[in-house]
Amino acid sequence: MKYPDIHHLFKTNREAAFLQLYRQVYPQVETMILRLGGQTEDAKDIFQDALIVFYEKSVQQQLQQIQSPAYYLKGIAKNLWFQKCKQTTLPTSPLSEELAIPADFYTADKPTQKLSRYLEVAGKKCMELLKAFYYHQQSLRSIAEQLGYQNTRSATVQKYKCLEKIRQTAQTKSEAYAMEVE
Amino acid sequence: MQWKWNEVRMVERYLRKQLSPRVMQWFQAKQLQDSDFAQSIKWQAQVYRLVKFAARQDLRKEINKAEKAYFSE
Repeated sequence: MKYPDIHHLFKTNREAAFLQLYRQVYPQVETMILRLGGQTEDAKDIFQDALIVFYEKSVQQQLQQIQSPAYYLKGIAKNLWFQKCKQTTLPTSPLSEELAIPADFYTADKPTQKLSRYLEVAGKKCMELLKAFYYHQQSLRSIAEQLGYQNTRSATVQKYKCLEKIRQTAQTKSEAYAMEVE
Repeated sequence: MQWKWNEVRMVERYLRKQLSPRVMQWFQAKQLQDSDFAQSIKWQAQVYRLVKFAARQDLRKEINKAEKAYFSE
């Protein structure tokens, strides 16, 4: 399966896209990791992380010119493996930017329970909306259809209300708010 | 203080690195001059990070399902 097909499948059926990538690319990644001194369990972990990085780059439209997902997934997996082994001298190539691991991938702090609760108060539907918009980069039209809003404007208004609700909840606990934001 | 729609949208574009260099320059200057604005950006960025963290966890669950399906084929 070529990249444009996977990119499309990411939008319509992510799980099917991931399964397809397992079938198509995982054996090659496992062989590579074993050759680099890792174990099968390492290969499984690395491939999962590589899929997340690949997905994020795909929805952020950073991989528009590629044809083969295998090439990129193997490159990302190799970078992840080197990072895991703390090897910093990575081979450079014209595509290194596309194969780069996001800065926050391993360093992102786990949110505190307090902050997570601020999001929970917004409700499940709000969270789905915010995830769809901010993370999956879905259009507001697609979000409106998926989450049952009347139109794009309703989804836009709802997104704003969700953010406002979270902010107000946090502000009522202003001390915590100031501390967490710092 | 209520969030303004335009401000929210602009911060979204800022967080996604979609602002033009000219607007970005204005944006950064405003942050230095207006502490409410700077605080508002910090907060929205924090929400953005939390949403990303939660969404990544969900995505990992989906990938786990795909992995199980693959290894049971």
